[in-house]
Amino acid sequence: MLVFDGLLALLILGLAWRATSSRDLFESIVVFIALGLMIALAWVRLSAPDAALAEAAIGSGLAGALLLATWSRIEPQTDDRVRAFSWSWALVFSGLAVGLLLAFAQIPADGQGMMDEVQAHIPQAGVAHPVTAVLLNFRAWDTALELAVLAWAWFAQQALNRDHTPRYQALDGEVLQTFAKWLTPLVLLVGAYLLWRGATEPGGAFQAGAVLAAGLVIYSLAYQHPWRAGRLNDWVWRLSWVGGFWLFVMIGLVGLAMGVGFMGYPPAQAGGLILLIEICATLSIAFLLAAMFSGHRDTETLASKSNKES
Amino acid sequence: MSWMLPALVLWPLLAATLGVLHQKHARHWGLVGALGTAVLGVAVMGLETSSWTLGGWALPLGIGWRLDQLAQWMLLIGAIVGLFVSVYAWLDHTLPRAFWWLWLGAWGAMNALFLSADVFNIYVTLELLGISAVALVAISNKAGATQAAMRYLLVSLLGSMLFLLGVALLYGEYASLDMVYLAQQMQSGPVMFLALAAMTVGLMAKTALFPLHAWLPLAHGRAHAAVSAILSALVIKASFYLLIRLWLEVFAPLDLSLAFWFWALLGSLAVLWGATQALVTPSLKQLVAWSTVAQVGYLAIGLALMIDAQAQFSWAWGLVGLILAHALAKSAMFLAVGNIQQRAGHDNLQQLGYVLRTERKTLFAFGLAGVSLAGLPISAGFLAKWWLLELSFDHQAWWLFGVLILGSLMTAGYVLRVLNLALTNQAQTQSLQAIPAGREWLVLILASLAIVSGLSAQSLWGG
Repeated sequence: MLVFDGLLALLILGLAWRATSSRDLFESIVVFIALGLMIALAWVRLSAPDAALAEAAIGSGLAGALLLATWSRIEPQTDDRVRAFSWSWALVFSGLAVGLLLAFAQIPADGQGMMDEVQAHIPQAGVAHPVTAVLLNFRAWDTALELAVLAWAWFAQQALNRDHTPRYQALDGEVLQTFAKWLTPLVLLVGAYLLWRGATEPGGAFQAGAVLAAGLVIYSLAYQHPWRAGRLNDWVWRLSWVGGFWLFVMIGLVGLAMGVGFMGYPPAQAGGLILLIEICATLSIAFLLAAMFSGHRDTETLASKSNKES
Repeated sequence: MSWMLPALVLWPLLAATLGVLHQKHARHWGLVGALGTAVLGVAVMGLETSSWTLGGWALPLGIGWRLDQLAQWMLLIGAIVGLFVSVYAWLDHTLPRAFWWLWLGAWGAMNALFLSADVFNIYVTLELLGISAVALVAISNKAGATQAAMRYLLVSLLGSMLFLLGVALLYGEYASLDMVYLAQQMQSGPVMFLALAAMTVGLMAKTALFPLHAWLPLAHGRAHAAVSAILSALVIKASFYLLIRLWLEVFAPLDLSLAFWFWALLGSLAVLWGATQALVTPSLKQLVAWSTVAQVGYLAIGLALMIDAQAQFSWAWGLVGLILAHALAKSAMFLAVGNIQQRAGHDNLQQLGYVLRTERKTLFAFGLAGVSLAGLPISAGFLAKWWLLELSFDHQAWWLFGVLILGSLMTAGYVLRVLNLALTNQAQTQSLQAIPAGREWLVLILASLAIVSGLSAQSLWGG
């Protein structure tokens, strides 16, 4: 396996170099997607399947889709400038690399981190998988804030996107639509399975949300329109963006009122509450990521009125 | 734990969420959110200082929160400046609605950052703060705003990544993320110096400390006045607050004998370079932005003197005084510039003479803020800069003494550059836009606070 790991490491470095040095933006994006998949493989080799799933679904899949969506909306560009090699930057980065290698050599290799502590408290956590226990219980506040980061990233995108909705090009034939019809139930199933499995094995809300988002993206590609909605539906969409975060912190506030502490659960109810939070978080993540890709056409156009005044 | 602490984070985020859900009234939700957060931020001064873990999990498993005096003061500064900027923004109809979601998101993130005692949790709050702050710059319609925001985004992300790298090294070494525990365990070694270096460079970039300041004048020149005030007075202070925590607490047990020179030199260069640029720039907004670069230099000098003065920790309150003085004066200055810029329709210094002469309240506010920035008595800036002088006297760092005096003179120079224009007999060259009278009063009150807070600052010195 050492040969495989070595090749994988070289491949990752090579792809990273290619992604940053390519003069063709499209090529850079494609190489970046491949790079994400190789990094996911590296996580598998490091026995971190959770990170591998997240990297493949979000880092490679959805980030790639977002980059391609952006690429389709900007003028085609290639960079013909001669690139000067900067000795000073090369020195800075190689210094950092050497420093990091030395530092990692110094860090105790048998370090378990907080694993013993986590394992000791698993019985009270409500879930059996240590990663899910850390994310949804021991360090729930981090995860809640991450959901807020995702929601605010989409709010920021909306603020900048003004009257801009993606252009969809006419598709010939119905291959994609048929494909989407067949695929959608399967995607739903995989997403639900990942979510459910998170309680005992690698998986969970972020991975499940990313898979569901991929299904939504395929849907909007096949039917060639963004999420269009009437006035009532607008509210449903918007609630879906923020629902995960707010349900999470509401339960956290109940914990404060009941004396378990902010962002805590009574141990007896922890399992059920975590599942509820994960379901809502999955939906929020899926709709947020899909909205970032497809855009969202509101009945009121965002922020346009006040912009026109100025 | 008091319900007020979660509310400090959740209330602004709730108001922002309601604004997103109910976009027609985003502005009013925004004001409700801002008023509530400001009241909470002031009320927190009355709470007992203590620390907690979230979710009822004992350390090192849970995330630690702590409210000490430094955190209280940072929350208070955020509350005061945030309140004024919010009311100002409420009266400014040119701001897009998105301002409110993004600003309240940034405010909630800052409050979460000040409460947190957990380095990874702080990284998450930095993400939320960074994304909101960058988008705040980008919502401006001015040419070049997108490029400036993009550069800010790259700097901010690079800073966050370096911070995260330091967090990873700390966790790898001590298997804990709690700042208090880390400070107790801290032992000298190359890994810790690398962690400190990575985190410091990352936070320096976010604080816009020389030589990593180039994004700041670009971003401020193009952002809305309220946004510039938020960035200069609060957002960069959040990352400077982390530098204080890291250098004076977490990494304090390391041998930091050379650190004095590092911070004092960078700080001095920042003071001189920023002030020089402010003296020559042709635009009013850029002048104030370069002044921020210079004033961040004073913060760095303060940190340098504190690192060397471990024995007298009570002196650290001078740093808070410095942050407070700059936050008040600089937000007043940017809001004053906003009034003038909107009234004239541009901010080209050469053609502002007439506008400055007619906008008396705003001009007076600008002058008052300038008095505090230059450190003239009896302002808050005077106390803070006196503290710096006294400490450098204590250290017998005479060259630093010279830099501080020269910096103050240059500050007075670029403030007078603006005031002087109002004394010229420039005729009216273009028609003026009307602005709400409330905004002039608001700026004047804020600038007066920058002076008056100097009178009550003995509380900062524990008096």
